Amino acid sequence: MILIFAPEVPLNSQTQILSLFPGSQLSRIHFIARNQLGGTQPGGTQPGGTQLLEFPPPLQPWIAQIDSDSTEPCALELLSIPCREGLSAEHEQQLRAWVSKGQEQTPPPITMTLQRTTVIAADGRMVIAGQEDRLSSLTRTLTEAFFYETQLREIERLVGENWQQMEADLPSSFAASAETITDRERLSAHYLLVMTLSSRLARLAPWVHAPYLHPPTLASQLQERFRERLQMPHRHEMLDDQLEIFCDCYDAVAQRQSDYRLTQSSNQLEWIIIILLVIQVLFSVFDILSTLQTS
Amino acid sequence: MRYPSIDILRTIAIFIMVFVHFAENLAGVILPLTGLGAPLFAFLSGASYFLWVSGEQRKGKTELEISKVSVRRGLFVFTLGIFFNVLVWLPEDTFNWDVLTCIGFALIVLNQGRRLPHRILVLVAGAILFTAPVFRAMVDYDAYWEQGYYEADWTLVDLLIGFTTTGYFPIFPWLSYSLLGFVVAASLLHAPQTSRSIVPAGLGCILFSLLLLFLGNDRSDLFSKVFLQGWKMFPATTEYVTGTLGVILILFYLLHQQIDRHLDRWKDSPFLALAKSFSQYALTIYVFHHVVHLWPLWLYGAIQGSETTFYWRQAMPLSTSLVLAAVFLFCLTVVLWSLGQRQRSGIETWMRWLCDD
Repeated sequence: MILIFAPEVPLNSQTQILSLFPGSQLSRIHFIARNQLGGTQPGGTQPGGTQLLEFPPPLQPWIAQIDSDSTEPCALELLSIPCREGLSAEHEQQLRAWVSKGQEQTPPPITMTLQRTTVIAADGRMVIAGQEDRLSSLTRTLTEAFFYETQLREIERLVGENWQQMEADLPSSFAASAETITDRERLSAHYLLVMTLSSRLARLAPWVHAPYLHPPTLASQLQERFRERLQMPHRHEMLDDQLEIFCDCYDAVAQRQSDYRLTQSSNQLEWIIIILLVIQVLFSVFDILSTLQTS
Repeated sequence: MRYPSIDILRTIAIFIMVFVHFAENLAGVILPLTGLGAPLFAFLSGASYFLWVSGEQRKGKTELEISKVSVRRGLFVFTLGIFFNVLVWLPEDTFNWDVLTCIGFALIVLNQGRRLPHRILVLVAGAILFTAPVFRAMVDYDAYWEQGYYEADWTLVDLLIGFTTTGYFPIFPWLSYSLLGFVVAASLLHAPQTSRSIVPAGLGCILFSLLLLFLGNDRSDLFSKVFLQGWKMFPATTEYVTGTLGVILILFYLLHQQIDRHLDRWKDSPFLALAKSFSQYALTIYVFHHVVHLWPLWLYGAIQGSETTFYWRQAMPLSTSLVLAAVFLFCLTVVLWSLGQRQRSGIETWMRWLCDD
């Protein structure tokens, strides 16, 4: 393997990377929901793409698809490097720079090394360097792990963005009023969002809290390390707790809204009866008045 | 917030009112415009009440405080209506149930009604509108209008009947204007998503009025005698109320869309500034224009040694009365223009001083 670039030079272009590591392959991976495909392609893939893996039942609608020719932004750029002896320190540093996209990232890219196999991963990019015959299974397993982490991160982002709004909506969880009723569509959208996030989180649980595989394989061990390094079980629990607060709030909001509307319609019915009674009384009063007037 | 659309509508009502009253009381001529001013006033009393309540709520006033002021204001306007009758129409017409007594009562009703769902208020307005002809028939409305104007004995029964059914502006059906004014203002100014139904409602009212007018032709059965009485202001028939209501709804909607929603385009308009002044002094102008054209009439009659009201409706030809109305409005415009936004003093100020906290 020939080092072409100095270590401090960031490797950003696809050509630079591929020429640096002969035999390496850069895959652009998309996570696609089946219902977005339209069912036109056999095998459930988008035109020009190859299905990499299909997720297990709770996440069945999703597939990972390799589409290296596509110019659209992808979820993961995965660089597979076949090497028998592991990566040198310089190469590792260069690949870390590539994974970081030449920027300071928080958190920094994670690096895992096991049995001469190195995995470097960060937001949107991953490098797997290992024996050629193991690359295929490692790619599938780590792509799956990356997808779960992406989902978790997305839920974290949405929960974080909606904290303030949820706190602003707290008064509506205690009592509904005419003002909150006019805001019903927005509250309903938030309720749906929270329920969707809870559902998405629940679907990740079987994998995030899965026990270690026995007997272990290289792929399973790397996947488990990936899960632990990214604190996914802990993050899942935190999200679960946070979403519980959201659910409690918006459950109560939905209940208050429903109660308010029911009461309102019941009140309206009562008022209609009252109005009819008043009209009846008025007829009697006018009848009496007209009698008195005549007399 | 002040909405110029309401100021403009109120100014239109004032101009119509002045011309109609001068022509009717001085020349005895009923202008074609007659009957458009009073519904506007009654409707806008409800709309203004809604805006006032919203403003008070924004200031953090409690429901109790708002209720107290509402009732005081209602009683003030009602009492002013009685005093107005005594002083302007002379004591024998104390209980002719003028528009002020109706609006005063409407404010008290709206104070209770403002907490109700708006659909119920619309239902109440509809019930008032459609029961009014029956009540009129029950109490023999025409018996009170034999001379072409309202006349009743000062008995409790006649006072009640006059206030509710047979007076100039009885609560049946005039209260429906104020109730609907409140609902429409709430819908148009505070809930734009529901305001789209206002134009169809207005058109529906006009079509319904036309349908009743069409059905009422050449029919002499009991139903027609009660419900299909043609286009009349006294009594305010269903055709008249629905027709005027339709026109008001469409006018209000159009003005709101064209002016209130493009305030930046109109903010320096002298026309709007003038309309605002007219609107702010509407109550004072209502009382004052009566004083200006009726007191000289009574005074002249008394000086001539005849009955005080001898010259009512026969003092001058129509053209002269219209010129006088125009002169009055011109003088009023000059006075209001020169006053500008200086500290106001009028009946409205007295009302605030007496009624507000």
